[in-house]
Amino acid sequence: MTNPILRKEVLTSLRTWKALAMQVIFLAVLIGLIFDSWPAGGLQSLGGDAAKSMLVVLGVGQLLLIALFAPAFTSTTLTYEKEQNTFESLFATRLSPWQITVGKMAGSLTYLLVLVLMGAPVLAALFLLGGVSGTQVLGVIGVLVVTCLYLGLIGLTVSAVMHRSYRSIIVTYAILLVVCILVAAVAWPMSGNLVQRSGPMGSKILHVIASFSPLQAMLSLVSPEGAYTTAAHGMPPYWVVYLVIAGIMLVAVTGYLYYKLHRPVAPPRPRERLKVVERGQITARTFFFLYDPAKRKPMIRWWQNPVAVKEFRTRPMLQIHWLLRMAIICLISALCLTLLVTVAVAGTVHEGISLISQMVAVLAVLQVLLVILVGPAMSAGSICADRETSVWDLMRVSRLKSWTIVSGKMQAAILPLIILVAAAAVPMLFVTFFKNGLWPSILRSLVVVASTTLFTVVLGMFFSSMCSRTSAATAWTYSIVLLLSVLTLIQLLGNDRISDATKRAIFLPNPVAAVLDAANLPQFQNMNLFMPHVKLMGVLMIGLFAVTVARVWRLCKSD
Amino acid sequence: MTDSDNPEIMLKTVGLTKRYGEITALEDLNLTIPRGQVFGYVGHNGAGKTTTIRILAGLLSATSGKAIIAGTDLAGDRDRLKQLVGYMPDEFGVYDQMRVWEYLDFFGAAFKIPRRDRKKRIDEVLDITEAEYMRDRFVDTLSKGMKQKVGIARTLMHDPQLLLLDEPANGLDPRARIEQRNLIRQLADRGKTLLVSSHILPELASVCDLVGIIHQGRMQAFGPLEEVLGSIRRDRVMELKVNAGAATVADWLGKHPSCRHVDTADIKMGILHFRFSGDDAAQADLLRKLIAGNVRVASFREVPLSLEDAFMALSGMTTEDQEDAEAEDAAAPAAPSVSAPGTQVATLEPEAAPADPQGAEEPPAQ
Repeated sequence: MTNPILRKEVLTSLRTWKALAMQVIFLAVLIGLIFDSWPAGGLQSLGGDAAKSMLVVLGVGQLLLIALFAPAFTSTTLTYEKEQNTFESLFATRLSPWQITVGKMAGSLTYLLVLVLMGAPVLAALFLLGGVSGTQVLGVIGVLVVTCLYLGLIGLTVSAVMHRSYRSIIVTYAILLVVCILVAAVAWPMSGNLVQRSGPMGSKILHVIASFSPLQAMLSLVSPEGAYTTAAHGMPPYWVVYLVIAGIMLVAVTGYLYYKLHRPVAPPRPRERLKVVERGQITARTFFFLYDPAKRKPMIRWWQNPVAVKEFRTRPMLQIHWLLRMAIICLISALCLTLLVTVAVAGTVHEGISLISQMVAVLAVLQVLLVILVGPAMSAGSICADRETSVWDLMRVSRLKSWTIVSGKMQAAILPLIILVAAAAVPMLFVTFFKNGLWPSILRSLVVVASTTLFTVVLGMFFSSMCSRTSAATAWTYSIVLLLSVLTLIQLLGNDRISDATKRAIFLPNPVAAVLDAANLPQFQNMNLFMPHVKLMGVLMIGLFAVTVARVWRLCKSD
Repeated sequence: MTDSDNPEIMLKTVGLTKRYGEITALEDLNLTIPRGQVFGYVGHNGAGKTTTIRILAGLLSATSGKAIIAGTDLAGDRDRLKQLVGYMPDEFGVYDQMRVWEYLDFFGAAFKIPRRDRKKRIDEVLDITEAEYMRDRFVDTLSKGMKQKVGIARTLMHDPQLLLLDEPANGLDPRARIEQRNLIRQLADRGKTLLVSSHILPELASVCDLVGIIHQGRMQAFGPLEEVLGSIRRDRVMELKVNAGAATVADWLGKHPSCRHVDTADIKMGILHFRFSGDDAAQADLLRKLIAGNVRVASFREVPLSLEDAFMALSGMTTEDQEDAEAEDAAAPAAPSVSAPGTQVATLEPEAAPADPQGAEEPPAQ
């Protein structure tokens, strides 16, 4: 390895305990999937149904795991150097910009490729069952390798743009959620096919949009005859379009990285120095933002938690004008989703399934996804960010009790989530106008959303109190939340091979499954997940909260 | 009345010790600091200054020993101690997006100062620190010197009696240092007791009533500055300025039995520094001999010992490292101190210098 950056990156990323832990988790999940779906009886169909079903589970499972781990390894590669003030030193060396670019790219992608290689023997095991060809397995590995590069480079690009590691992780997870799940959603209406229902040009456009998702590509490869993977008329399969798009993206991102790494990083742009607007004074900005961010704030009142007030004043996303903007975006997204489902599902619903009931389910899932996406970002930095910036010591020498700190941080994480979820829940009110008797399922859904909100916030605070770095806390929180919420859903792809009891046990901690049950979606209703899920989340939450309070109490004491 | 009950004693530590496994960060620290005094705490990096300050601030627990602040034991009422102590770490974080008054308001609330008093108190501390003009500025956009002012203002918010300032002058420009020095003195005049650690020794020397020099976790000297300096003084440090022939004079002084370590760093300006082991009479006699030897003496004086010298002496820098360095210099074939070209004057007669200074009383004629 002649490139010193590549050598350093590979060594430092592979020799950490985090890398080992991730590898162990990766293999443990894959083994769990095989153990769960391996046919128990001695008889197997000649068509190799079991192997095909397992290929779907393992292919999608590995892809989701890679999507889960990619931000943790790539999105902090450059931000960490910037935080340590070592980034500019690279430009003072005799390394060429190309060497820096290649070193950073290859270094951060190596670990993800190692994960794919680790999973290859697991895929090879499918040959024992027959029905799966070598070409198919190679195709799956090929898509996984391309996905590693694709997602890894997204993380690296975000890392090149951002200045703080934890922000980079949050943005990367958000982008990956959009790229992997939401983009593919255009090809997955709940029944029927939005792509097929659109006009010739529209269906091709939707086909291309859905092909940006590696998940859609993998599904079209492992399950080409699936209801949601049928290509638009005259278009190649999704995975072929995906490979083309990924290739173009790789070139574009590499070029962009070369451009960014060609010159030393520019310091963060100085923030606008807003002139104070006295209370009662109305400015043009008031009309634009609905709330003037420069308005003089009142002093902290006796009944307010000073830590909560401080959090609301210091974190950009918690400031009123930003919260208002985000709430409006949530409201518009929920309305658009309602419209999309209406267009996609109308006329194709199965007998006995109510379109309106499905609306409730879709909106509830949107709220859960919103919590999963925003919750860790709001909570994972709450304690360790103060420890990183040495502000923690100033709080320790003050008269603040550890309970005041925990409750203040919690208020600051929960309140914005409630506002966003409430905005996304507004269309639910409209839905009740069209059908009576929906309130019980709406309330049950909101209970699941509330428990998910509390659990996500407490989980974020737990990791925030345990980790010394915000980036690590953020990555851990996102990993666990996505593991519970998204990865456990892949059993839907191999549901014939899994016993109902096992399926229910896997779905139990999954808020998406629980909210679908709460919204009375027929596929989940017989599992009776709602109440056990809420109880399980409640117990986990209390346990995590108790540990967090104890940990913060300990952090407040003398070392 | 014991010291711990004495209202005039603000801080007293007895055998304060901190160990990390085998490593002793602080050993048997005994301090007594009266109320209203400024205590300058001097030591190398890792000497134990920050450990002491963090123990006194309640952030670190001592392995053994005890500390009493204004009559309250450190192991006692934590809440009372928090009200008594104001702590400013060497590097303290500030919050983004927060204006100076909001920052102070937050810490005022964190110290449970009622809202009405808090407003008044913010005005007061901004006035004391002369930071009123930055009231509405964002804390994270301030310069280092401004942030230090805000840091001190924050430390003063709850009106503590003992201020622990860890390296407050670090990274400040000369003007900001002067302002900070004046502020420290002003706070002491207001009755505050300050424990200030610093590497910038002249800063401390000019504001401190008491000085402590710590080395490898042990206090080497403690007391009023003059006493500390007097206790470590072994030789007088003399400064001689001549109008010509400095190199020859340096050579002669180097051979004089009472003179050691002739420093020729400023020889181009005709200035020589050296250590002199004689008493006042011997000092007068030396001057007489110089003048009698036709040395054109422009000035001849004893250099007061600085805190820096004391620090260097007590931390072992001069006794070992410096002497080694000097020995190496002396062994060098062309020592610039006496033979650098251009430093000798045409009228010098080196051979006139006595081979044995004991026998030849007169310095070289010029």
